[in-house]
Amino acid sequence: MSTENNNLYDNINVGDLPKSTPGWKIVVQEILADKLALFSLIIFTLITCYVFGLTLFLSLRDIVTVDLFAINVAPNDEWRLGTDYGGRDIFGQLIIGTRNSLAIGILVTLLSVGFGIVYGVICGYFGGHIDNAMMRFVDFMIILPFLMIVVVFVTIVPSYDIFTFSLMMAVFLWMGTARLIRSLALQERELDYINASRTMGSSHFKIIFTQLLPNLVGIIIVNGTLSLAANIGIEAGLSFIGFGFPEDYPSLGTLMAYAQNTQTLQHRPWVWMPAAILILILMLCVRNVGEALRRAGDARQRQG
Amino acid sequence: MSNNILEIKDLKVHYPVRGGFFNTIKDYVKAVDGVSINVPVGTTYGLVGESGSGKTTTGKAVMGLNHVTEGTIMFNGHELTGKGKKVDNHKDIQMIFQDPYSSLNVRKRVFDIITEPLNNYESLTKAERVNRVLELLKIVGLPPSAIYKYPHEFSGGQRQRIGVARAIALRPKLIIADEPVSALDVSVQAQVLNFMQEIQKEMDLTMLFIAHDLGVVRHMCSYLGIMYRGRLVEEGTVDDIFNNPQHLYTKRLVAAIPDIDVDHVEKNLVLRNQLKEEYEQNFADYLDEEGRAFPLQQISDTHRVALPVRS
Repeated sequence: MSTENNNLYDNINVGDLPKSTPGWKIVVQEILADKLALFSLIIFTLITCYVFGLTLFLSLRDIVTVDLFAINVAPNDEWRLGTDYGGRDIFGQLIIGTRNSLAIGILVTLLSVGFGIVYGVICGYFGGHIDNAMMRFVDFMIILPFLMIVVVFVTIVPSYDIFTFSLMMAVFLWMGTARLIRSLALQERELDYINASRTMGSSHFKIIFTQLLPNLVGIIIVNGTLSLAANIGIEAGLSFIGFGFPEDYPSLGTLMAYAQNTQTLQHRPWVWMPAAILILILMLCVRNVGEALRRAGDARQRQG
Repeated sequence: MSNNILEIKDLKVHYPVRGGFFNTIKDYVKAVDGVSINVPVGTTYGLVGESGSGKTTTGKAVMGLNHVTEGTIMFNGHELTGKGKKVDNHKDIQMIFQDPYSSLNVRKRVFDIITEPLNNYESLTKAERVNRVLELLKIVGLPPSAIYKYPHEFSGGQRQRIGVARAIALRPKLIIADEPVSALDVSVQAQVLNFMQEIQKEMDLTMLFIAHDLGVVRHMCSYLGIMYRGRLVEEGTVDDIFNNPQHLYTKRLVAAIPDIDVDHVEKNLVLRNQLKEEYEQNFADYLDEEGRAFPLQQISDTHRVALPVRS
């Protein structure tokens, strides 16, 4: 090394060394660059904040109490979105229902995707007999009739709350993620950087969670957001056919269920229409943000 | 011999071929089938052969990345193979990988990549680690500004240097270089090779150099082993192999090295064609019934050849 070159390495202030753009900054840039995603994120945040904020001041008991003097009132000054056949305030139900649906959607996604990732990554990384045995269990779970078991659960369990209901749903919804992550992990573990980590004495646990998993983040985010949209839909569907939450525990699905009555469907759109529109908006927003996040994770597709 | 840092004895790596209705073992692919190598301390041993001849498998078996069907691998007097006997050899044996694109995790910064082995074996403070990484970057000739960059911001040659920096971070005694330059273009090859030789001298490293490029091997190694279908066909010093090849396979391999001697182009061509004919006619005599090389026979102190056994 020449002396000139040596000077380059001496007197270095480590803080001055250039750093690559940190991950969160890339995400922010990406969302700012995609106007649709930015718009979606703002809408989603506003709805979420509004809903969660307002539920602090609303009383579930007041809202679900039957009021026979105000049955099927069209929207007016007193009832902003009218009332249902029990004289219950639709606006209040919508707010609390949205909160419940969002909470379930997020909780189910966290539980199912979280478990699916860990399960799939272990299958894919170790491969061989472990993979074989673990994937047969996944096959077994997939053939179980989801709907039937939910119906039985709802019928025999006397009372359930958001957490137990989410847990029950998550038990049947983690297999897709597990399969997806396993297939990617199988691919990834053949790459030399995994071998390199092994030769450097890193434990399997460390390799899986610090080397392999960061390379799957893009897929995990896409899978997570798509699952979130789907899970909100599944909960709404279950409630719609009457096997989700009961009427006195509103969710977007229970509001939609009022549309099963042809009279309501035809002549009283204020009962179910707001819930239907809200589901649509929420799902589209989540999807748009998910798309932007996916691009942020893949340097080749970035717009920002 | 006690000055051998690595002694491989009769190494066999077989992979089962499964098939049929019950998925039973039908046959074995004998990737490595009885290879014995001794590598003296401080030297570079070149392992050469065509693709599929088992060079990389041998290297990976030493690293513990492959299972070993039979045979022993001794490192510094410790056995690396065998059941229940786990010697953590990763501190003293490191590997440089063939493909500089897949061997670096694209999600990690250079700092994280190089400190991975340090975190596993040494407890250093953040400042100490930064200093060590800067020191290593200096050795491999990368600027200090590289420390917080991601691998995709570097060229192939620079990436291979990051791989080398990672491999020498723990000051290993033995480095297994698995075709370290075959993915690089020729101008960068020379750079990487020269500086690998430099570090070898500086750090008193022993290297097992796996390659298929004879020119590169001649430049780097003091001992050579030529592999063919999972066995060694010839082994000796570089001088033995290049100036006195005995096995027909080696002869043809050496004759195939491009020559820049313009005056003798015609003559070389004739020689090469003669060898080609001889190879096509007689090569079967140099192999046993299974198409594999015969056991090695000592023909001088350093030179061993798998000449056919006349029975």
